[in-house]
Amino acid sequence: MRIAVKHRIRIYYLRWYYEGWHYWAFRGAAETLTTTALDLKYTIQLGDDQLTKRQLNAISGLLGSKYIHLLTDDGWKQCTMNPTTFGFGSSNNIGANVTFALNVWAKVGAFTPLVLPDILPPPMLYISKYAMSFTAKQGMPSDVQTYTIKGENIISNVQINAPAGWEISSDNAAWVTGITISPIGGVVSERTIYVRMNSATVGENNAFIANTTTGVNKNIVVNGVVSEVTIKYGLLYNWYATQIQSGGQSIVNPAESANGWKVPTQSDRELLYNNAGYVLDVMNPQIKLKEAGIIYWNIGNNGENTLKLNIKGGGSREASGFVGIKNYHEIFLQTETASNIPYAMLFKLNGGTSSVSSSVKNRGAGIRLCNPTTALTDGQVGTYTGNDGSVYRTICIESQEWLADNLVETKWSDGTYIDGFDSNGYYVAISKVDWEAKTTGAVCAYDDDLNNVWE
Amino acid sequence: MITLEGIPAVVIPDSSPAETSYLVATECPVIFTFQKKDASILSVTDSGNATINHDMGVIGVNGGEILVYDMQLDKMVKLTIVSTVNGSVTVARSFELRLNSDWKYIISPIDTPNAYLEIRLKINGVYEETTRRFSPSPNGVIEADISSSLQSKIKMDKVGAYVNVSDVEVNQSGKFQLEYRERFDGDTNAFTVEPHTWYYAYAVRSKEQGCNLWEYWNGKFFNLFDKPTYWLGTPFDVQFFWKPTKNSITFERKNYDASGGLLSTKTDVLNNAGKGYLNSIKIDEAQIEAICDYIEIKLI
Repeated sequence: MRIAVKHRIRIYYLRWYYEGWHYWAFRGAAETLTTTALDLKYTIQLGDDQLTKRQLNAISGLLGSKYIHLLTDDGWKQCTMNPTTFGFGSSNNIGANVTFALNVWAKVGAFTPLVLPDILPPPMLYISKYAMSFTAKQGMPSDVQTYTIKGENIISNVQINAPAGWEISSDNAAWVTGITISPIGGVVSERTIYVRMNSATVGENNAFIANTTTGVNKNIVVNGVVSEVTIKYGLLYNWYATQIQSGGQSIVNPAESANGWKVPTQSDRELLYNNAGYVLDVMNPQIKLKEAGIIYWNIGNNGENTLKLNIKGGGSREASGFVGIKNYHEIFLQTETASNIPYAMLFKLNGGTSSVSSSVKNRGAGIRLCNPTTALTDGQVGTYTGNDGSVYRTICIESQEWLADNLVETKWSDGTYIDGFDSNGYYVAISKVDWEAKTTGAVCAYDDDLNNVWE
Repeated sequence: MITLEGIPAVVIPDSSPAETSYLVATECPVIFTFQKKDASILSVTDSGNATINHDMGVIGVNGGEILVYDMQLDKMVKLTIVSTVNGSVTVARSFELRLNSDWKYIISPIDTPNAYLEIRLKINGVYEETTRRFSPSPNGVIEADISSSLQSKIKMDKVGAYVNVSDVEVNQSGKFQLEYRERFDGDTNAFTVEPHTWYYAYAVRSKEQGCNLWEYWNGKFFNLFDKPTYWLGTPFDVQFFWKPTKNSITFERKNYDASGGLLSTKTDVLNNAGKGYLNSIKIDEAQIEAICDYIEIKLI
């Protein structure tokens, strides 16, 4: 009697959970077991003609990020696929032998029978929000919004990543771009995640915050609009801020400093006045330098702003408090007299007094950077980028390029915030007593109101 | 008197010398045919009444009745005895009575009142505790189906567990002998032994096919498939009936590839404890090559 022989074809079944169960059956041509220090790797070689390279690439990317189950003689067991072990036996798109490794979690040496852990229920991440919208000024953090996250059946760390221009925090204090949460007993207890936008790029800032762990990925869409910063009166600095700090920090962006930008000296001021046609150190009207009109000055302003330096009546901070807004403004120079009295440029409502001032170091005054080595020519405009990413308009007056607005710098050249802003970039008002006691660089807004700084 | 008229044996066609199969299937009527007749009719003469000459002594009593089988009518005719002597009986002649040579035998209810057939089976060397009773049909024929007794010996558990080279399927095959006797009121008959040893196997046959598994008497594999398929990885064996007249059997297996090339040959001398039984022979998957396409097996 003749008996036909039918050989077995080993069929493997994989399944994974991603918005429902997915199953994949494939024919195994060969399989081997290898061991690493911690687990077994079960290498299954696919039979010929089963996958195209395109299909393989799709599957490897998908399964490499998922928690998958392998059907064994003892039911479904869980394992992970190592996508880096995908490979072709040849360069053919079809018909090549393809191998990949399953990382099978088992005790070392437990080859026979293959001991696999029982499958767990699918990991679940619960996110309280799926979309948030923000607005912010360029280079300034937005208001904070929150969402909550919790997880069940979690088998690896939960990673939360913020895209460029966004920051997240687990305590509303320390802002980072990545947070890692370790599950305890497979559970991530419910917790609040703080989100803010902080971008130096003007325009729409749409992205998503990824909440990822093995087997599950939840994205939160974040839509933001970053508006251009229009400077009003700018920030008020003490004179110490014009100097290189003890740690080497500078208020001038090092990249811009390399191009010639600096806090102006007495010589720079003298050249500006000379270029403006004014006689030094005598009373002159300053009408070419001041903003015209009565928006930023009181009635009686004689400014015409023909040189487009846009000097506004930003007042100053004195020992007694904030005074003189729309009535006068003082801008520090880095130079000081032999008796350590700092120089400043003083602008008044209608001139008539000295255009140069012997100031005090603990006064709060504006800062205008200048570049006496600019390549621009008279009347040309340009830009300057601050340490915090703020972009300023500039104007060239004869051979000098000046900021066309007061400085609103919040950071030192090393990226740390100037005293007056906390480590998260939020304005912190400095008391009169503390302000007077400062001997290092500090900053404030007139009346501690940021509405006086930006439009 | 009840005589054995037919047994379910089959002379195997074209066997030389002639060989008879005594192997029957359990899941099918297994019928032994008997005939009750108290005398065979030798001749019938017209004596005004009808005088029936027969092969027995005195049948019936005067004024009593006998039954005569009329083969032409295929029915029993009831007749009244006028006189009875040794070797003949005269019955009353009526107008309707057709007197002819188709009268074949006599049944005398007076001589064997409440007659029936009793069968005793000896299965695998042990008498059954209860006997079987069969009543004659009106014309005295008894078709005794003993299959239910054999079915009671069948168990679904195969002995063969795909471990040994061969196993004797004692749960699904065996042997038996049959004894019978006529019983009636006041009888003293002893059992008559049917002289053959019979064999049974768990199998299904239709009544039209007949219960005798004569095709398998000489070692044909117990399988209805022309070309059975061995799905590697699943349990697989083949069975055959080891006829009692063969003392030694060797099982031969040859593996071939798809182009008919011989890959390997293996022979096994089977355990002769399986004589008279179905035997299961395992085909070991480990001995089948990866390129094996088919296997040829035979019994030597």
